[in-house]
Amino acid sequence: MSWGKRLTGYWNKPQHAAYLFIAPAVLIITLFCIVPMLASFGISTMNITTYFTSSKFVGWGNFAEAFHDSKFLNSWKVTGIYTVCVVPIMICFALFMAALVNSERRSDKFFRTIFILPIICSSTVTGLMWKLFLDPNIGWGIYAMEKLGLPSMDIFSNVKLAIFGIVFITVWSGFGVSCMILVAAMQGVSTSLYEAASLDGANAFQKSLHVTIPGISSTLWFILITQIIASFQVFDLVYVITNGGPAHSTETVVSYVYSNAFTTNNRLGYSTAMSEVLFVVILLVTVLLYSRMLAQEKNGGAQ
Amino acid sequence: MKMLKRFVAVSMALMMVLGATACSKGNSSSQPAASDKNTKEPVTIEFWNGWTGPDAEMLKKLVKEYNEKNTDGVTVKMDIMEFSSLTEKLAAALASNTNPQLHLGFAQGEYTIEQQYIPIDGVFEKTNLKKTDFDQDILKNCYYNGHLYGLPFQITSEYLFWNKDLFKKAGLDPDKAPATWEDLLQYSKKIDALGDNIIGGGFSFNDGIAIGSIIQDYGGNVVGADGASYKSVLTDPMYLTANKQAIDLVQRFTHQNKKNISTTKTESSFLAGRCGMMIAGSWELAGCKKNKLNYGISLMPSGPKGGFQTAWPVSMCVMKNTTGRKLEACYSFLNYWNNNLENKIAGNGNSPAFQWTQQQGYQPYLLSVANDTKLTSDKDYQVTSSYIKHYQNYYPATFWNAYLLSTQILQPIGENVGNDKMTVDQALEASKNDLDKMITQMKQTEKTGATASSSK
Repeated sequence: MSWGKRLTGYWNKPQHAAYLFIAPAVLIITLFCIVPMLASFGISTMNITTYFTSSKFVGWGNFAEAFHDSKFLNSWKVTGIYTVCVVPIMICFALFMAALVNSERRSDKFFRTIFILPIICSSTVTGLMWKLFLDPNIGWGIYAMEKLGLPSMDIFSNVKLAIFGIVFITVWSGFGVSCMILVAAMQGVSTSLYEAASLDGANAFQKSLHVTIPGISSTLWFILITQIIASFQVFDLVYVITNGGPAHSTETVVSYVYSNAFTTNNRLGYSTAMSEVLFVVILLVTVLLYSRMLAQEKNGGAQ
Repeated sequence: MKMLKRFVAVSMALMMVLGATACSKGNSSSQPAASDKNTKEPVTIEFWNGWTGPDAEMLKKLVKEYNEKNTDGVTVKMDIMEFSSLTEKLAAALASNTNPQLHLGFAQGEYTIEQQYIPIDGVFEKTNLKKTDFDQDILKNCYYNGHLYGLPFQITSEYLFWNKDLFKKAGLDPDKAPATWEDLLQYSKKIDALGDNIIGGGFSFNDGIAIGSIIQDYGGNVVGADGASYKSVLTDPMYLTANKQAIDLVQRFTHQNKKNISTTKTESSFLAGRCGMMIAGSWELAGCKKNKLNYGISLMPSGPKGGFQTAWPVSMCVMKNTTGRKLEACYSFLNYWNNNLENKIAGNGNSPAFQWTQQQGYQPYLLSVANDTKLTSDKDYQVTSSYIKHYQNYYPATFWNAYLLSTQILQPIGENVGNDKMTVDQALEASKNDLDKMITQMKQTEKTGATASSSK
């Protein structure tokens, strides 16, 4: 048999042909994800500017510097506060709203559409809109608060309130998608389980706790993991609204990495080292949560 | 049905192809062609800057005039964008050697140290510009290591603006500005008491330039010389008491100013006629006149040790990879902008440098502009140009990170004490640590820049 026939014969087999079909995707992922990831690790071991000048190998020097950088540690504190506030509020609020609009009534369908509308706007537009809305001089929101007798305040210039302002905007813009996913999951729970619960005398709250929540637990885990990852990577809202201020009170990890790379220091190597730390933390948290999720599903299956 | 499917598929494919061709880079129709009289080979140079707002309109007008009238065959393609976008875009462009030819920046700044700017020592020989027409003290700021890295473009200082109508309402003399920083606090309190959404104003807790001036006026300092290098003197025993007094004033003012308003909001409130005072650059004059405000302008108030004005010179610089015909084109544009003695395009006395001072309110760096009676008879110009008699910066003349000094060192002091996040001592200590880090980084950058240049 000639080489050509052997080759075509090999690749014609379905189990081999599959590799040909996924080859373009693998190539793109390798070129645009794997290679940059490896290159970024290389860059993180160097003292190099954003213009790719002044390069010098420093090994773990950038990482050591990062762990002694008070602003980097502050950015982790800010990111932690942000994540601890956004994730539970987002999930609880989305769950509550999903429970309210989980039917085929026209009004519920209308509200589901309303809830998902904020996702149409980009984060930049959302951030600018809320920044203007809450501006103490020209914002309609603050004007309405003053008319209701509440004190006027410049939320985004206040070191204690600014981060919570951003938390609020994140929840406002993001809960719709989580809500829709939860509605779909809730509608997948078998009605026979609810009937059985009713026969056992369960009230609405008990049905939610013992039928709905276990029934949608894998969806809840998915939302939890994706929201935590998104919270660790928050940047656009912070950049548009406060740019890390006032007094670094809203400077998240990605904001600090960005300002080090492009605004204040032009230190590409150091910024890349900090983003490698972020990558490792997100990876660890994801693996932990995913293992926990699998363990729970296994226990649930065993029961 | 089959025909319909085929028709839809073909139409979609055609639309995608047309869309791809529409995305291709072509000549912008807004770029006017060079004059038919040109005999020189046409060349296009790119000019990037972050001068948005009213300055952008003036810049576009002046660049358009040059493009239409110059006989050197040069077309300047200007790209104006927000500073943050500009910094990011420029970094990528420099790394990939697709950078613009002209840029507005600091001739003694990081771009020069990192060799992203090129020296333009030949500009006076290759153009009709007269070096003697430049204010030599200002031109000094464009030299680094004995080479000229740009020509002055504008001098930025800050002044006290006040609303005369609000002064009158508050029982204050409308023609008299507060002489000292303590007076400013008192005036602001009286105007605040007017209520009805009026704010006293003054300076903002996050105005690094004003904070730097207050520090100097109390006898303090921020950066001192350390041989050929620099050192932080924020907590130096020689200056600590004065620095603490200055920051205490900032804290008292911010506590008094309940709305805790930032610089941008103070300026917008002032232009809306709802703020008594603001510290801002002379570029606000255009807005005050446009909004028909009954305003006054003076130098910044003084402190116990005097009244000092900080000023920043921004330069028009030529970026790396600019050689041959493109470098010639940059020189041609620099000549057009600064040749106030015999500007053949704009006419005598109407050079862009002159117009930039006359209409945008920036300080002149050309002696022929500074002495022009069309300017010297303007009362606002008489005030703003007098900054030179009180000119002193809170850092040595060779310190090239002055912009970051204001935003990364002084501004956080104001934010930290204004928001009660730190005490005065803690805020000074925190900023001192940040400044030490900045200076260490600057020394490393200078060392690497010197090594790179000596290896060429």
